[in-house]
Amino acid sequence: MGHNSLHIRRYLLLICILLGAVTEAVSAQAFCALRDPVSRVYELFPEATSYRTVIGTVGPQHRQFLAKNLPFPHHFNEFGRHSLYVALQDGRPLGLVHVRSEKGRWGLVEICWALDLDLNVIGFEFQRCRGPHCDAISEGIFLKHVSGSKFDSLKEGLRSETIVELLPESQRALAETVLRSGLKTIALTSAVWREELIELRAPIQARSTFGDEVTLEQQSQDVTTAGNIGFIMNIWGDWIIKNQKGEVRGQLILTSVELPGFSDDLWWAVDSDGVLIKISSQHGWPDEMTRLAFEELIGRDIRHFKDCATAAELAAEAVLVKQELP
Amino acid sequence: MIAPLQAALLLCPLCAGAPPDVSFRLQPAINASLLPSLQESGESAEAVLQESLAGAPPGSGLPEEAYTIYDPFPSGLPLEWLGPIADNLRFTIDLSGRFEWNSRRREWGITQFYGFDLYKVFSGKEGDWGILLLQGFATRINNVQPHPWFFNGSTDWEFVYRIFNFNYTGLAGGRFNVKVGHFEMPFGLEMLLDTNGTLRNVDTARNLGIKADWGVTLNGVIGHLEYEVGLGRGSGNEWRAAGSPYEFVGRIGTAREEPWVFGLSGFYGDLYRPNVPGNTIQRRRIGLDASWFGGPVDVMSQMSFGLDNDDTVINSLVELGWKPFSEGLMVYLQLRQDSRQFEQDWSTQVQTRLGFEWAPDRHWVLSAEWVQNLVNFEDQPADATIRLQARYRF
Repeated sequence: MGHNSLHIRRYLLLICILLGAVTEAVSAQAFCALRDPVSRVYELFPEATSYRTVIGTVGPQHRQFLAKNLPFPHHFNEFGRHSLYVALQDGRPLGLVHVRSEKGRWGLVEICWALDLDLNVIGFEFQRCRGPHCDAISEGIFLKHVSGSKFDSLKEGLRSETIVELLPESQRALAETVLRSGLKTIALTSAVWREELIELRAPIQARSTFGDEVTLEQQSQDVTTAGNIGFIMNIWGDWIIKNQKGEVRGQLILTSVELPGFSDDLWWAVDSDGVLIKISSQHGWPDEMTRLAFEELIGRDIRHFKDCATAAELAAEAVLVKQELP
Repeated sequence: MIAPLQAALLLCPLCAGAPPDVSFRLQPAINASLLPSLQESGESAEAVLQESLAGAPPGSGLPEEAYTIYDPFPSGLPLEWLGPIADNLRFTIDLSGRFEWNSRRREWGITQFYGFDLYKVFSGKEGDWGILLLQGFATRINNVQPHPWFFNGSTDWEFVYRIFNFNYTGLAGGRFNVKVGHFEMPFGLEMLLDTNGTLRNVDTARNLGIKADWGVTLNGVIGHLEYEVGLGRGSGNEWRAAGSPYEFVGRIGTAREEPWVFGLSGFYGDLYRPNVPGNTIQRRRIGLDASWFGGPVDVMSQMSFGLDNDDTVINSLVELGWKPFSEGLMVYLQLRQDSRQFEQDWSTQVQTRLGFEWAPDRHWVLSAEWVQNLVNFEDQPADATIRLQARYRF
């Protein structure tokens, strides 16, 4: 009897070890199992005519970014290559589709997210969801709440549980999983596919300023830092804008600025005379004062730091002087 | 938030050339994000950081590990050094060893696979226009019986093409594609599963007489339907023309993302065999498949009927799959029935397969399978086979 119970204990110990070992693993699959979410792309973007795949590598360098930006613990083992899909209408980007896997009560939950180019949520569909509440979550008030959300409103929903509290108790775990997935999707897309996002956004910015019939020629792909201006400003790219005849219409410059209370990408449009004609913030101005502080620079020709009294003017001086037209 | 912004932008003159203000240098990195929505003004940097690192969503009730998901399609080797070629590229080395013991033969057979798996998406400004998928394996069999006909005996080396094709997707955004190369038979459950190099399979090779072939297919996804129809050489791994072999094969099915999946398949072909009169054997099949995916349980089934030369054939397969703890462990039980009418008499084989696949990490997959014939053809002994496999991808 004692001998048998010793055996049973050993078996139980072995089973526990095995269970502990399998709790986090996902079987690595051959690439023939890779499937594009074709039907989901066209459901989420009905006007799309095609899509483009962009595979990005999530690496250790993204660990810190996520740790600091996600409002929940994250174990950061999602290293590897992931696909982002750009929905296109006759070659023009409509938005982004990204499929993320999350752990759910009934195995993996695969959520297909549709984002606009500002990374606001357009909607989502379950690519795989095996629980009993998938339909309820993917429609009704929860879907309405999530659609159109920005990162901070998703985060707020997770923190205050406002939207989650409106749901029946049985649906809340899945709703939280979806909110966390949305936050991860936006944060990862922003970090991993930044260069691709810039390439997608630049033509839109150029057309909104210089008209539909313009072409872009990228001048430099190196990221440079504007020095000695008292705050962090990186210049991510500049493009010469030409019309159909090949005449230079102006220049588009992308910078990122990090100021107290305001961090964003700024697009600077300069005409062929080197005069600033438009400044726009990628994710919108945080308030009226900030918008005015930058927009009052329009029409001015700031070429020396002695002309500068504010951070906005210093930023303009750095852009206009360092990115002079060839 | 407005006050410091006003101070910074409008009121406080900044001196170019002066060292950065201390407040800027100590600005929490969370504010340095390019997402303005991540701003946490009003809270101290340290508090924000602590919450981000250690906090948990209210009511989540899940441990930190619960959020971890691995990339199921890892590229083991760094590819960045390839430059532009590495765009949209995945590549991995795939090694495995398989050990097989049969109760009737009472001998071990060993198979070794040394190969690679490459996946490359080609894109242009108008969207994706092609996918290259190459899986080639130098394969060594030792005392493996029975073995595929293209091996010269039970101990041999061969280079085996699993899937080795280019799928042109530029015609209609994934709705209508043309695939050229070595393609997997689009028939039955084979379309829903990855069974290349795995012990778990759905009997495609035995049922159709071929699992993959050189040729052309039309394929795509239209709404909630997916389809693939192909014309192949009929010779499998090697291109052989003796006897003019060929096959038509195809399946149309509902979207695999749904809980219920249904499919209708067809196969019509004369397949190459080196040692038969005329160098071909005939296979005709109509197949139906139905699957249900719910919770940690999969139930998959398929049934097909047709002709092997002049013999009528009916076979079926039902699989109950269970992932009890995570995606890393799967246990499955299959029940297979294969009935053939030899002249006037029917003969049936009934077989069970109990197996598991276990991924202890992102590289290893260990699997085992116990195949037990309950009833065998023409009163042959009800033998059993044990298979073990270790696979490593990096």
